[in-house]
Amino acid sequence: MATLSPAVSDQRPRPGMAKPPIAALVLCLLGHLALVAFLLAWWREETAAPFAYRLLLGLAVAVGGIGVGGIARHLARHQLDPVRAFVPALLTLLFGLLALEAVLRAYAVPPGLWPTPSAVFARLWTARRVLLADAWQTFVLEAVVGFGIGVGWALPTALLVARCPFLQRGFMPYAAAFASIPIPAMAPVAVHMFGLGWPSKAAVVAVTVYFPVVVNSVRGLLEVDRNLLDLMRSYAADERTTFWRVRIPNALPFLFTALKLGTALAMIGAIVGEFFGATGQGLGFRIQIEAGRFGFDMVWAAILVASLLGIAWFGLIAGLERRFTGWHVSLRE
Amino acid sequence: MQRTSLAGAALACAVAAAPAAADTVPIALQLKWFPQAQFAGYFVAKDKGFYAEEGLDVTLLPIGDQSPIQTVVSGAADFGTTWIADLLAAREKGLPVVHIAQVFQRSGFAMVALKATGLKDLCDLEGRSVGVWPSGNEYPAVALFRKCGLTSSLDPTVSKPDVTAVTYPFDPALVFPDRVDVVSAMIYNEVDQIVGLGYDLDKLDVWLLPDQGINLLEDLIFTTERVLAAENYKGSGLSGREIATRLLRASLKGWAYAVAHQEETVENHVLPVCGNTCMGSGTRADARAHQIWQMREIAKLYAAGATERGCPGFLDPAAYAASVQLLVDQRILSEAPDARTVDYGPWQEATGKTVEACRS
Repeated sequence: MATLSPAVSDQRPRPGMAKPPIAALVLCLLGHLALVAFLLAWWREETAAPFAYRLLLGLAVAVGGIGVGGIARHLARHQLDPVRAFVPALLTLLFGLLALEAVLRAYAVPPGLWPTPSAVFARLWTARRVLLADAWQTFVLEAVVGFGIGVGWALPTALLVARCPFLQRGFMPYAAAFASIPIPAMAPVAVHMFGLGWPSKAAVVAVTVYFPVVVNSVRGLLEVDRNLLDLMRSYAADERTTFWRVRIPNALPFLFTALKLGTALAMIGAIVGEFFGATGQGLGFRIQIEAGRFGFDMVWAAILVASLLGIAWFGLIAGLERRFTGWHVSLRE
Repeated sequence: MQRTSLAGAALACAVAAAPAAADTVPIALQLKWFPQAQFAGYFVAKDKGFYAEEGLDVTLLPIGDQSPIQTVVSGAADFGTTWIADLLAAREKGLPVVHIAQVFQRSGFAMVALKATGLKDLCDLEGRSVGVWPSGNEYPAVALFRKCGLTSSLDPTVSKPDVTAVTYPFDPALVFPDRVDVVSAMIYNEVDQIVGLGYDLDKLDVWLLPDQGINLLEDLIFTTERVLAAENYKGSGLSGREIATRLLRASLKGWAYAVAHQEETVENHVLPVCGNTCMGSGTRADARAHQIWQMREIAKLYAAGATERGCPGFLDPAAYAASVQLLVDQRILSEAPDARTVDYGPWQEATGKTVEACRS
């Protein structure tokens, strides 16, 4: 294999070798320019744009969309450095936001139904202090602390279960069942037990994270290739060495899968938990209270903050996964 | 026999066609909460056939802690009941909702604290926590905080608020008195629930917000500009305005009956449609007793103001202006809503009365 790979990579087209997609670039530029021109012309108007304007706008969206698609297709054919590989996604985002802004303005969609992206970003800025405080409550106190508690309990449990066949038979079926409990069903119970503050949400998060981590870690510790165990025995390795050299590395990919799932579950648990009562802070509280008063600019700003935090957290765990399980089949080039 | 059977067939056709011609129009009215005596008038109008007399087949939709405006604007319901602050805030955000009748003439919104908390004045709330309901039900509390010159965690731009507003899922037992110092309570529902939890009225301070200068009008009937503008609403052959007029006529008839026959109304028209949501709390859990008490309190909110002057359902321009002024002063609205927000037409048609004759 090693001798073959240089030949393969030589056949791959290199960036800059193919002709740049002139047509796609022109269409993309035209679409963007038309959208910007419309936005400049219609920025201060509060009524719906006349039919001719909307027709042109539709055309601009179509043309620009084809252009962006063409550029993306062109770039997809090439192996790129991470920065340039990100261009299609960035271009799609920019174009999508411009098109959304223009269409919402052209049809004078009420902000109580769907705010424009510019209104959301403006709100994100004016409410930044409040959103930061909300994020501290929801992300740090509820999601991360709950996650920490859940994982902190799950790991010793998994080790214990892996050592005791009795627990594997008696406990694991329940753990698997509990892993599939829908969180909203538990949130009101937690609010009754732990009150309206952040501990009740952290408790919900801890419980929802706990079970998937236990289930996955136990599987990772037990489902070990027999050949590896035989090999260790042939080396006359003791239990402890086998555990550290075989079982733990084998469990890591399982564990990280559960941890990545856990970040999403933790964010959901924290936000949904706040819908059942909150002490005047938190992203879920903000979303609920502002949706009730049709302040959807604030709702989307809070959703944006929650999404960015969720993605960053997931990325962090995925990075750790690459660091610690880089030898694993799924991550090898 | 051939002839008879033909005639029979023709008759059958006629019978089948007749209801189609005089068919009732199916419409949905979105209530503001789960069934309870707060909506007695509508239950009576439906059960006693007042709606059917007007050619309407009305479905009364319950709702949990969302705004009725969402279902009406989305078209899932044709009409709805809500509070004025909720309606005007939605209107300011561009939703084309229109006020067509004011059923309750007084606010029943109260703040309750234990006497032991030692709150001398309702404005002494700095550093306190106050229980509020979300979904457009928090505006009276927001107006109170602002009137007292206090910021709260309900303000989206204040990071260190004076008052902590605690949201909870409506049942005061969840937060009061352990987790909040003061709790929102409707004079016709939660006040009795708190008493049922073992806090008798002599242990409680109860402040009615209208006595504190915050008289935001509550249960009203609204619809959308789209419904009122329809020439042939949902193919019924009736205009949207005509349907609104008929709905108001039957609903107000239902309300007049409900208020005049309170026990019978609760017994026959409220209790059969409600489940657990009609129950009180603790020692006052009994649904029948709780609803009869609620009906009495609701009757007081209905039989005030314009109703006393013989104009039930009338939105007194002075009361409306006062609500708007309060909402603008407390910066809940940025400006007074436009004139199309209120449409007196259906109410005038339904009652045969005029704005001039009924204004205070």
